[in-house]
Amino acid sequence: MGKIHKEIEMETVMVKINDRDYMVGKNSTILEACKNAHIDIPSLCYMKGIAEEGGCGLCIVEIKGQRLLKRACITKVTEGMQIYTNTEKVRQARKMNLALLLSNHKIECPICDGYLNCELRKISERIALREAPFDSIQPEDSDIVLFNDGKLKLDNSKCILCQRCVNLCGKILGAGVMAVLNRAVKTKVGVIEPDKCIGCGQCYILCPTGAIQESSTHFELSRYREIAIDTECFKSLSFDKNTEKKFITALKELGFEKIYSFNELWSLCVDKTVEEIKEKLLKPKKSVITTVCPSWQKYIEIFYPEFLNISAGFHPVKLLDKHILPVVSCFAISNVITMNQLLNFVKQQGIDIKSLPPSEYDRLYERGESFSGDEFIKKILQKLTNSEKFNVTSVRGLNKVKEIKTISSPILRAAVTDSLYQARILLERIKKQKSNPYQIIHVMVCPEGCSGGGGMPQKKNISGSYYGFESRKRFSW
Amino acid sequence: MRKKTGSSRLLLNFLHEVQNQSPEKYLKHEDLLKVSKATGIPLWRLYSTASFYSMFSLKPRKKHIVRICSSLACYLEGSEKYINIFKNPECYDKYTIEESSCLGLCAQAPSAMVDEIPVSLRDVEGILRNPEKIKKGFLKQGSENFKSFNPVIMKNIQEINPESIEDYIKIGGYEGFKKAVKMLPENVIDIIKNSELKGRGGAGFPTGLKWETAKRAKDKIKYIICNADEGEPGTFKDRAIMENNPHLVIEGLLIGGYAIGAKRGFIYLRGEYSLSHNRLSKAIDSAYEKGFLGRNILGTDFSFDIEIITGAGSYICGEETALIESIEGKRGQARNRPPFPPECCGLWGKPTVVNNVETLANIPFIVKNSANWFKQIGVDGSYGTKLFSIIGDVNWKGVVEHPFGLPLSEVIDKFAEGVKGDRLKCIILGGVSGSLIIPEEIQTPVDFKSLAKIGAGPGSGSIIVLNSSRNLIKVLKNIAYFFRHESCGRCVTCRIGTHQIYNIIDKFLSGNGTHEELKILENLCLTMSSASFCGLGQTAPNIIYQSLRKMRNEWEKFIRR
Repeated sequence: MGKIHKEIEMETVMVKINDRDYMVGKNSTILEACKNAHIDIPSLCYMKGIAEEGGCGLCIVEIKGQRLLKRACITKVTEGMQIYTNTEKVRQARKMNLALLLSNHKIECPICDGYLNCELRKISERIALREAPFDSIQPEDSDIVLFNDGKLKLDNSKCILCQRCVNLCGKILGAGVMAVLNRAVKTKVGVIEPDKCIGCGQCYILCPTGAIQESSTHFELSRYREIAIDTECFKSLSFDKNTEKKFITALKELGFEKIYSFNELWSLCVDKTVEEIKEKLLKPKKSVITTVCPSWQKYIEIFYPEFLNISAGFHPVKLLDKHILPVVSCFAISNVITMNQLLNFVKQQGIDIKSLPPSEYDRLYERGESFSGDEFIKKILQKLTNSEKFNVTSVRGLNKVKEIKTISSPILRAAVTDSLYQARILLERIKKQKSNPYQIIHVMVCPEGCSGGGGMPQKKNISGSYYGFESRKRFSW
Repeated sequence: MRKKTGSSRLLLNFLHEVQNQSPEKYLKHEDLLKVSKATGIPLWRLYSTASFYSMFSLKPRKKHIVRICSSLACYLEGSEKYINIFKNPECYDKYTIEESSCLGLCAQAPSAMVDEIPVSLRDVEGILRNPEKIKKGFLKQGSENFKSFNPVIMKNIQEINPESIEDYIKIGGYEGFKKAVKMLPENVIDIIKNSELKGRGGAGFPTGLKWETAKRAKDKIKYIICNADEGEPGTFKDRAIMENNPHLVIEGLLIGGYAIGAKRGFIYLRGEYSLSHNRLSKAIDSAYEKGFLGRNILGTDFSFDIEIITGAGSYICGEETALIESIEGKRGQARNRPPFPPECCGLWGKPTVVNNVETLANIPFIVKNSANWFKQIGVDGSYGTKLFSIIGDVNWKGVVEHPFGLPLSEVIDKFAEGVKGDRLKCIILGGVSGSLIIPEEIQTPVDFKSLAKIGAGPGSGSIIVLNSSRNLIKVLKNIAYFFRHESCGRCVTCRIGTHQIYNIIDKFLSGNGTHEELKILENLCLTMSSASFCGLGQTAPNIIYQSLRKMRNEWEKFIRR
């Protein structure tokens, strides 16, 4: 008993928050400590592991004995620290910081695409500014830049320079499309290498304001009579089977005659991918990289073109006839509509989904089932080896990579990951011809697979670890 | 044998090289791709870094570059009208004209630089039409007016050739270092601690304590850096030291490096200080030749190398942690503190000491002569001398070295030969991030304790005198413009705060100011001083805030009736 007590003592420190004692983790930030103590500190730009600039200054707190106010998100606690989260000085400074931020932000909420999920709007409600003492000043060269094949736009007049997009794209994903440019009030996020964009849309998911938005929200839906939905999307939408069926009815109300599901396509996709893999495994290359994920395919084409000759597979959307409108969670495919866009469209028609009767999907081909991540690879391994059982283990040092091994002969090993950051490490190993035990490498760029895709409604409780970015592991820069 | 780091390790130097070799004097996309390949630094980071600094250009420029100073000292001497002329450079198709923050040529204001040669701004138009005229407009370098009384640093400075190490040795150079290597490093630190030497860059932190913290740190690799990024408008004393006796800096670094256990020293030098770069480079070369730098110096176990890093036009890089970030090849953005660089987390994650040029220049004398000798000079709490850069409405401008403790009024009367023009309006002491001193306060002795009583400090040692003919609000506008340009841009408080301060002052000057806006300005200043991420944002509102408190009548003249 005494030993455990001592271990706990080593990992925690005692602090006072608003005059109450708390035991908090030794290396935690003030923000984390307060969160665990159920004390709310407004924070906007901060995102652990992705954006730690201390830019917005809204999370400032007062520390006894210090004249300067400290940013709770990046300041670590120390033994005996006395923290005050809501003094008059703190409240005034927070309001001033928000007023400054808003004076540099183009405020057009009712017509802004990002209105619904805007973190700046939500925090303005929280801080309750009530007056705007400053003139609105826009930077001279603020502009709107299109990228990702024109599907995304970056509007600098709404950017708060949190740098989530820059750090994600550069540090974590290794694409480096965007960079923070210039200095002082001319600081802005610029699109440096639009050709390197792999279309994952994660920057759009993370953007706390309407700075990064879809650039074509008004899709010509009326052209299509038939629509096919990648039901992967429903997994993260908390749509149960019933609601899904009512959704199908809603689409019929909108004028679609046939509503298909991608499920059948996935089975076809598995078969075709298995054929390609068989061909390539026969050659003395020994490894195959699946390119079912369209962003991953783009990533290989741009950054590791030498691996194209060992790539196999494609996204099932390629199997669809041209007259059917695909609905996907993916941002990297052209001539589709994202689930987010479809949901918004349905909402705009004023249809109350709950009141509708359920409908069934129409049939494209024979019955099939959707396969994601592990299931997809297991199906492939099964078709290649007839193995019914698999050994799934984690890979040492790479916490988002799973190894799936067939139990019966021939023994095939597949590495499956939903972290592009960790997949890069695997690729570098192959490139440097270090020993690579995997015959198949399956990568999904979006965390949690397609259900975390750029075409899904924005998620907020994300951190660097969601993307498999462990800051201790250095991958070049 | 001289150890030279591959310049690719020091990104700033590499980028300068690449830019200078480009015929259109800019960083081309293709060149940045090559740099990315050579260094392994991703392109997006290179763009991020390159676009941060004023001296790097991402757009083609003409073969010749003209830099015009827009900061306070030059503004006081009428730079504005020249800047406006150059906004229409029709006949100047061989020159690119750039605005620059304080060039450190304040005593010869209004100043400019043509192809890195300091010239008088009045002569620039003539030079652009007729390049041979450059010799005429050439500011005689290294010849600031000097005056001194009981000097420490400036002693013998007029007698030596700054490019001769033999001259330096003749006046006792490197004696302090020779003494230091015979002692234990701890004892060297004790001497500096006992001398109570305080940093001369502006912060006034006890140097001995800083060195001791670094010495105690448990890392085998440590660094010592000379902060030669003198950028505080109105300050040019470091340039005077480096141009006239560069070996002082080298000896100071050697002693410091020995004391804390560092094997490498860096001099982060302002990119605009071309003559200083020249003199320091020569001095470093001759120090290597004579065996004062390199392996096993003077037959001891101590090895030490010094490298110069050329800054690229950014005032914030004079801030300790932003300077370190800059050496690491990143944007000059300050780090969160604690932890502090001497403890653990300085350059490349190692314990690092950053000292100002003037601070280091004192070190050889203190070690050579003793701490007690040093404490005979100056007053309690402020031992030794301070170098002042005196400019503005005075009859004599230049660098003055004087022991601490002399009343400010006497500094002006005795050395600057009195206020020029009608009468004194106010003094900006310690730079534009310093304090505003009103006539009632000028009897205050210049030392840390006395000045603290009126909420001020010696700062960088800059003294800018304003007479009653000056429009104080226009002066404040110039100061606000400077900070708005130099903010690093990371935190909202400073990036937009400096912008709004400028905007409000501008409104007052165009006759649209109100009482409410004065209140807003005051609150903004208060928030910035406590909520900005780093010292720049925290001190940017100083002069403006003090003008609202001490000289409100100047503002009331501009309130809309």
